[in-house]
Amino acid sequence: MKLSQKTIFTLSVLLMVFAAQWAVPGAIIYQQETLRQEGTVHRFQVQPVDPYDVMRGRYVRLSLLADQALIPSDEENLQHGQMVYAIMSEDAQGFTTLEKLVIEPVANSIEVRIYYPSENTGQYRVRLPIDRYYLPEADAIEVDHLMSWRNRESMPQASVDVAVRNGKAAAVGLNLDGMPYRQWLEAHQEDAGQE
Amino acid sequence: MRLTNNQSLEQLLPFWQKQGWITPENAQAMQAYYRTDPAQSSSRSFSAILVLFACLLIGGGVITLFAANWANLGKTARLILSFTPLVISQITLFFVMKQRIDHALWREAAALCVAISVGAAMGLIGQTYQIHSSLLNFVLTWLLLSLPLAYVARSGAVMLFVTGLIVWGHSLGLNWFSMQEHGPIFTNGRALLLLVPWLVWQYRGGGYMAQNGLWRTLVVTITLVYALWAVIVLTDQYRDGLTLWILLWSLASAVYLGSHAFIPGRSVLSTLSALGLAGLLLSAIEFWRYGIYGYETEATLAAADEYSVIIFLGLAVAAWFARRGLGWQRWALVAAGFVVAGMMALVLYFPGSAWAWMWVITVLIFVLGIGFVHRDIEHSLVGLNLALLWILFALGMRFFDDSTALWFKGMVFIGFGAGIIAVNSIAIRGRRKGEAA
Repeated sequence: MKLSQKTIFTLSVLLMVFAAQWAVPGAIIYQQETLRQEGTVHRFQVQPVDPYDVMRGRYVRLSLLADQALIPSDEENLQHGQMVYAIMSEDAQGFTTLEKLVIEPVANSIEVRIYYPSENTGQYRVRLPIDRYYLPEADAIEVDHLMSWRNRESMPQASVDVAVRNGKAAAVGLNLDGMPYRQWLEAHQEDAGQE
Repeated sequence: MRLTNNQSLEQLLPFWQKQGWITPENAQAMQAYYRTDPAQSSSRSFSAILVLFACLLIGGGVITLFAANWANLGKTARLILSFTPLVISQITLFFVMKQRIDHALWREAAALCVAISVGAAMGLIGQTYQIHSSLLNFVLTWLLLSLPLAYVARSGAVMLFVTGLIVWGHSLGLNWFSMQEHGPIFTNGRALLLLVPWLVWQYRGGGYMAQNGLWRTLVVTITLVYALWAVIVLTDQYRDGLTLWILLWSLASAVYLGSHAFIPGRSVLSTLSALGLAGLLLSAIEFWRYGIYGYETEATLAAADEYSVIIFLGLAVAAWFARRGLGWQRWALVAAGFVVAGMMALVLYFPGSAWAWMWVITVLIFVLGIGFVHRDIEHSLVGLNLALLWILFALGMRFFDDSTALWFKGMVFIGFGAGIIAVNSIAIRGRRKGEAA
């Protein structure tokens, strides 16, 4: 069957659309693989809660303690929503903290967004690009179940491992009491009976 | 007298006879012709679309079953599964465009499958790699990757889907912090501008069938609804339940009256009623959540798409009365608009009652769906399938809303998809037997 010029043109455009539909997820996969292989891992302390996303499944929402701190900066008039870089350091417990905000990326810095500028104090609240960690459904229900009856004192200390490369970040692991969450679940299987 | 497409042959024939333009024999011949071939062809096409939809459901169910065991799959297996629906639907669309480009049903179905699969692929990859992009960015990317399909494949279904994504993006982006962080595309209805080229294209003759009326009505309604929100929010009137009630009711009436100019074809109304219900159920989560927690401003804003759905419901009720030939559809709209708008206003005014309404609406739709299945199984494939859609969305929404196990949800989707195919095949076979007899 001989195709008309119009059909050939339409099919060519369609193939370009298909290419774009592949390029976006493909670029995401490439970026994430590079980040995981070449990035440096930092551990951030978090407070987990457990919501449910209709489109993307079950995840643990991460409230990073670093998001709640006021971070100083020498830069003036940083605006809400502006993308800047936070220089990271480590506290005595091995958790990553944010020390200072700068405009340009420097060594050991992570991309953050200004969330709430404080009036004339030179200090800013920021948001890190990490706010959730996806879990398999069964694990999420188990974590939720095991944590639901615990009081504030007996809650496990939660943290998230974040790979950082050139300021870009990706969550690579969720920890409870310093161990990978699955290991923690296995260690606390018997706790479920205490409810 | 101005002729509109809302007027059916049944309404026009007596008038033409009275004017002496046609004889009673002519009228009978026309009735006999239009009551058989075109109607059957149309309802069978619709039935075929629903069967395709059922296949999607079964496919979705199978993916859900995989998702239930997601943790046990390696990264490569997850990535392959993420791309599988996209590859299959793209290959199908390519061959449809190459060999059956004039077959609207295949083209629409395949293009819609590609649009849905793009989002599914990105969602699954996002989950695999723990990507923390916002839901708003996800919706925007999905929208931009789907929009070209509407033009290349001349797909009204994809355009409707994209319109849905725009509405979703707007309701997500209405939060002030989201607007600051994610840019202005979903602010103040700007994303609706993406639909303008389609409007121009359709206006200049690029459209086909009655779908230009379908999407145009949707866009007009959504635009009016956004205008209403602006009024409500800017004047702080949402705190006054009675004012809100009257505003919603007035808007519904205005859209109905305008619909005579905008909507060609009665079937558009019945399709809109099904779409409206789907929208109501699929977009209700944010609204109910905000409503439950008592954030009235957010509830008002997030309920925006619900307002448009309420209007669709009002239109559907009016169309239903009109089809019965009672001739008082305007009164039906006034009554329906008043009741449903009042219901929504009450929920907004008393956010604590949101849970009750959520279930009242679900049960109401479920019961109505069963009733319509019972009524239409002998008479109308279109009615039957719309009823099945109602039940499906009622069930689906509550399943998404709770923490029922994934494998169970997957089985329900597979069961329901198989049920749609079975019911359609029984109904079509019964009809053929009737015709043969």
